[in-house]
This record gives sequence, C-alpha cells and structure tokens, in this order.
Amino acid sequence: MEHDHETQAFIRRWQPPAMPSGIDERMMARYLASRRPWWRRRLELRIAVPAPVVALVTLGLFVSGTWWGISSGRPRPSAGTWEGWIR
Amino acid sequence: MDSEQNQLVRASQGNAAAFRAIWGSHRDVVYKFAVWMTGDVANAEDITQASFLTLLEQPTRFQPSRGSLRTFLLAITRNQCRLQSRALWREVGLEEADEMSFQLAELLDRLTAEESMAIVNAAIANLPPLQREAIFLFEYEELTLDEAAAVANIDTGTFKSRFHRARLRLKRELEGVFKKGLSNGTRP
Repeated sequence: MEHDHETQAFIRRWQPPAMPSGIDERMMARYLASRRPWWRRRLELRIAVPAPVVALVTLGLFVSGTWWGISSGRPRPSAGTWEGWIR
Repeated sequence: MDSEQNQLVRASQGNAAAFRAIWGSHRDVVYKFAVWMTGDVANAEDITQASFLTLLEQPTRFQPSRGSLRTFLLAITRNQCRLQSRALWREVGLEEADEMSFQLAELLDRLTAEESMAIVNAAIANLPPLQREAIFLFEYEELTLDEAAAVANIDTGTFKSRFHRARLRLKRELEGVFKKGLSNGTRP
C-alpha cells in the first residue's frame, strides 16, 4: 500500500504541543517510587481522609471538650443535701 | 552494545540510567501518539507516564523478534488510551464516498502553518478512534503495514482496509472543516 503524499503532506503540518515542562522529573519520580522495595512502600503508607470528615471530627472534639470543661468546672452538690437527691 | 531488551530488564530492576535511556529514546513518539489520540495535553502526559510504567511491569513480554521497542510501546500506549477514553472503539464503515471537490495540495499552498494545523486538528478530532490511530501509525509516523497492524492488534489485511477507510474519511473531514470555515466567512 502506497502512502498518499497529498494527505501526508497535509497531516505532517500537525505538530504536537511542546512537552509539558517538568515531565522528565515527574516521570523519574514515578519511576523511582514504583521501584522502591515493597516493605518501604508499606512503611510509607499514607491514608487520605476527606476534608469534611476532618472538619467534623475536629468540631466534635471541640464540642465534647468544651462540654467536659464546663461540666467539670461546675461545683458538685455535696452529699447529704436534698439537691443531690433530686439530681 | 546494550540491546533494548537488556536495557528494559535493567530498568525494571531499578537501574535509573537504563530507564532514563529508554525514556529519552521513546518519550516523544509516545507523547505525540497520546496527544493525537486524546487531543488533550494533560491526559497525554498521564498516558505517557502510565505507558512507561506498564512497560516495566512485565519486561519479558517484549520480544525483539516480534517488533521494535517503539512498536511495543505504541501498543501499550494504545491500550492506555483505550482505558482512559470514553469513546467507543469500534470499526466504522464508510458511507458512499463523494467525489472530492477540492485538491489538498492546492489548499496546502494557500494556508499558513497555523491554519492548516487547526484544520487537521478539527478533522482528526472527528475521526473515530480506530481510524485516527490508523492515520497516525501509517501516514504520520510511517510505520510499516506490519508494524502498524501489530500495534493495532489486528492482521495486516484488516489494517489495510481500515486505513483505506480512514484516509477517505479524513479527506472528507478536511473538506468539511475547510468548507465550514468558508461559510463562516473566516479563513481558510
């Protein structure tokens, strides 16, 4: 099968955009990461936690901490008084 | 002289220099193919990197007797494109071909490099993926028919007929893009 020189000349005008800058470094980083021994990769295990979950947990800790602080600062009713029995 | 196979095995064992050599020799063609197929630079970079990492996973799958490392890498890249693409990779027939009412060569003389590149971009974007890759492999990258068929994972005869359909469709698309430009009152 012959090449169609007319079409070929036309599509040869097409040039890909320049390589993204830093592509070599990014590739080498991925290569080196993929070649690390399995036990090192296991040690470097990372867990991704969604930001809303982090915000909710932080808020929960703050609220419960504040509640605990308020309730522990309140004077406890002394034993033998009627207030202690009611509560 | 270090063979491509040895280089590949050493790269898969963690030899960074061997990997750098393979990357340096083939990154351009892999990236170009990925851009041609996806039309998207960021996606093409991702596909390029994934293709090289896939190559290292099973280095013994590369058999120099069956083709060059470039051909093997292009086949991997093709699979990566298929994985990332939502387009349907299926054979498309050719509707009745109209008589071409314009000559590409004449058109080429009248256009600037940017204009013809824009036309080619628009035309290839309209090609179905299988035809798009056939044009790239045989007409643009000038692989032999056997090599191109190996990358496309089909026999040479099937590739020939696919390429024939692709070429006719490309010409029609080029004509369509050109005429659309004229009717919009813009160059070309």
